[in-house]
Amino acid sequence: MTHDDAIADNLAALAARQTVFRDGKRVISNGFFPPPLPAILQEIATTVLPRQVTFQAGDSHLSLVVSERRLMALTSASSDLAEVQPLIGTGLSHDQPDVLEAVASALVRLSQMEQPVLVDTGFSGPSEGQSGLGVPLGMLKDLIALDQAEQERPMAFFIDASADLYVACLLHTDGTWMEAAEDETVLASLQQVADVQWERFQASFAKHAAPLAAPRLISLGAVLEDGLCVSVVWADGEYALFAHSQADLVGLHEMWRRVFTL
Amino acid sequence: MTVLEALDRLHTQFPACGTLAYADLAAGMVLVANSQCALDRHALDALCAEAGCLLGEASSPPLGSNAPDIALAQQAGRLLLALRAPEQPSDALLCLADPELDLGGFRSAARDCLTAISAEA
Repeated sequence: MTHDDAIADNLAALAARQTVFRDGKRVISNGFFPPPLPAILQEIATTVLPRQVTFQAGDSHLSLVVSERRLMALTSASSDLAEVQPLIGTGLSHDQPDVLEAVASALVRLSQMEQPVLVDTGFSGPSEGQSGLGVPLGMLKDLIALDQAEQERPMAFFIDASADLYVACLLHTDGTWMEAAEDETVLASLQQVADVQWERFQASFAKHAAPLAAPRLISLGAVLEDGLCVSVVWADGEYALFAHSQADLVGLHEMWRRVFTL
Repeated sequence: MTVLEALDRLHTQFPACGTLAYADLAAGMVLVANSQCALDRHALDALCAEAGCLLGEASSPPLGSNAPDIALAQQAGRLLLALRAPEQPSDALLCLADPELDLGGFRSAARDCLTAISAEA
């Protein structure tokens, strides 16, 4: 690889991780992926200095003072989050179970709006959040009982979410192929593609297209027996091959957009 | 209807398409691009090369056992479609579009466009 090629690859990788903003607020989930609730909690987990953090999903919002990974105060909330209305303008304390439950409930409901989740971060006022003990993130997580399986890498999430859209799938990760298929004959055809054609195609495509560091989906129509298509997804150093019908081509591309773009 | 008129009509139907082109993959050249196309010759040639890589030659499919009749390449903010002309397998309709393009509707309309272009040839 030449020096210029290495620079291009690095730039493409950085571009693939580009932060997306809407209306001046940072997008942390498109409502589908990354899973909204873990994304919200991760935002709290990375807030150490005192900050006013506002989470917004559609017309709903929750504004909190967060410091040292604790929720210190609730400064405002949209009226639909009724459970936290009595807490607006007060310090939060973890020794009040009803406060803990109300905040957890509001965060969960915000994450279930099926809307992109945006976050806006600013400096907190000097008097905000001084009166409570705060709600540690760990206690919040225990109460919410996150589904750890939901926090998958995009590729694993995509493969699970698309399960009804393909007949066979081969995932190449950590140097090995992992397989899933309804039809062993189709899987064998896909394995043949992986064993015999894949490396040459990848090398050829890399010459003509932008560096492969950015996530992408390629689909070729009616290349297998019975008119089945082959699609390939690249992301984060992994790639997966799928055999699917022409009828599922559009659905697969829509699912890719939902998982891999904000 | 000329090839340019056919491409322009398809563009009118699907404004999400920024660039529509009719290409000779064997020669590696775009023959006609739609009137609204903002790409220069160099960019069109690169597009043609990428499409040629995806569609391959009829006798040498890039993946699988049959040459693809359609190829799509999607990444954030960019969607490339290439449809092989049924009557002239070395020719193809290329489209560079926003990812929000109505894929199902476009595929059908693009095939009609290719049929119309082939009828004029």
